[in-house]
Amino acid sequence: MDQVKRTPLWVGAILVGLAATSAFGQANSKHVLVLRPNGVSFEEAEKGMNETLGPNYQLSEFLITKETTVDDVVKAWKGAAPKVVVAMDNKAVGFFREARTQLGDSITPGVALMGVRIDATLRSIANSVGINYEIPAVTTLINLRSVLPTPIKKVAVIYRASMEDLFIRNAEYCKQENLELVGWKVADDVDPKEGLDKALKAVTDRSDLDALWVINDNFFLNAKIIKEVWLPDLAGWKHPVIVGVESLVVPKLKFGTFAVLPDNYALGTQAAGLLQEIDDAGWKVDESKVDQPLSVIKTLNLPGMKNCCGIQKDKLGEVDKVLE
Amino acid sequence: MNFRRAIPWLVVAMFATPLAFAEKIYVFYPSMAKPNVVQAALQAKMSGNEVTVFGRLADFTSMVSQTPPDVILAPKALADQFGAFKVFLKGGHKGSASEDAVLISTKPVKTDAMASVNLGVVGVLDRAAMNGFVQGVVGALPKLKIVTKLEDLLPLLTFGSADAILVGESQVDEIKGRSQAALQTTPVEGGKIGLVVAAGKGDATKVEAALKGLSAAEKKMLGVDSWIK
Repeated sequence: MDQVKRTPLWVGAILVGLAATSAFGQANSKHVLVLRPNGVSFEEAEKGMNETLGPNYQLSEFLITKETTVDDVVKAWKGAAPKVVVAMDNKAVGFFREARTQLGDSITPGVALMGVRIDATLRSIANSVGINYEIPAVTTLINLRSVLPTPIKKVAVIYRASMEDLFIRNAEYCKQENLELVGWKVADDVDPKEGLDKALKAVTDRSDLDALWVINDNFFLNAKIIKEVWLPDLAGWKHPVIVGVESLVVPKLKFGTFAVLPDNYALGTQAAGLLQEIDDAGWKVDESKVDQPLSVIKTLNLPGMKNCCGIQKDKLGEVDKVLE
Repeated sequence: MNFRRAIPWLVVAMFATPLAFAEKIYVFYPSMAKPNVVQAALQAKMSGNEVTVFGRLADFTSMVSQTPPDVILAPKALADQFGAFKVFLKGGHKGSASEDAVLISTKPVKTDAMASVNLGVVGVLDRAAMNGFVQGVVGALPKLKIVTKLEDLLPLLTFGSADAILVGESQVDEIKGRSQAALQTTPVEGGKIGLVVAAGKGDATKVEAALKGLSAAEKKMLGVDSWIK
């Protein structure tokens, strides 16, 4: 009889303990709502974020599709009750902004990444931080410089007038490293093919340039323009051509010689750092800012580089992918 | 079993034996060299062993737990977290198993006010443990900017995301060699960073011999110039 009486006490104690643990867990769980499209790059970034944050943070993932509406995001937001929202790509950032307006919530901070010009996008979103997806020229050029046998001083870049702020910022960063970006501005309203052709001819006519940095801009980069302008204009130009898309560095294309792309896993770990800073500050953004991506994946077109410029063979071990 | 029937089994056994007795070695050491390059170099010099070099801390720690190796090669602070592995060989630099900690920055760093410094560091432990690790080295708890690769430290300075970066003395030249910025180095008074150690679960005689047979180039990939028993 004593045993029967004691048993409920033990069970009760365990249940109370479990309930207390659960309540404690709820109160201390750090919910992060991740708005992102489907795709390997985004999965990698989320993985990096998740593995860096560890078990003290609980990530709720909401996949953005073509059919997603702001009401869907609002519903997911209410369900997750996040301390912070991470938005990956411009569409997700847009949903974050709209959902916050709809919810009348200006308190929940946001972290934006993996979109085009995150810096420009976040200007209109308060209480948010982000990481640009575009790799700054200085990062690219430091990596290129470390594998080349000859110095790099002046680097050409062709850009649209509307991207002048990007050029100016990159030129500033480059100065620290004794690198000079020499820009050719093309008006937004001209025919991209003609504008690019004129600028490229000016670039190749100069004898004091050491490399060409090709900005990821669809205005200048499509199959037709690559075939009709980039390839013929750069044929015989014996300097590195740096691109930001892996498909443009494949040796058989004979276009890019060196590509530098974002390391999406590391981008996730960098975003985790921002989340932890927001957590440390009491779930608020101390200072609205957009950081530059720190980590990159380097791809080298070995035959192309050997043909134009040579290579320090002992430095190949620092390159992530060497294409032959 | 007649001899003819036994031959296939003997052949299988002959080929299976080296694998069955191969020591499984997991390596994690963030350096400028890519993990696949380090793995190829180590594997070539450590035949008979199965070397896997990890580029990501999370992959290393989860694999050590899920598919435990016989030996781990990792910075001391990380190796110490795996109690089942006992250190049998310490990496040395200039005769010591640890090296001087150095700050690299673009502006002078006040080492007596480290708590107010944004400090970049390569993550060799999880964030909470990194706080303790760095505090042990610099004597204060700065605001950490943790990166995954050694090469990612320099961008922290370029973009002003960190006031200084913390490295071991042996890494200073490599980092400064990549940059043409006016970088300053400041020694951390009394600050030491433990080098790579080799730790095993059992008899590691074979691996120890193989590690001692590494050339200067391979040892450099692990941030050491000698081994200390």
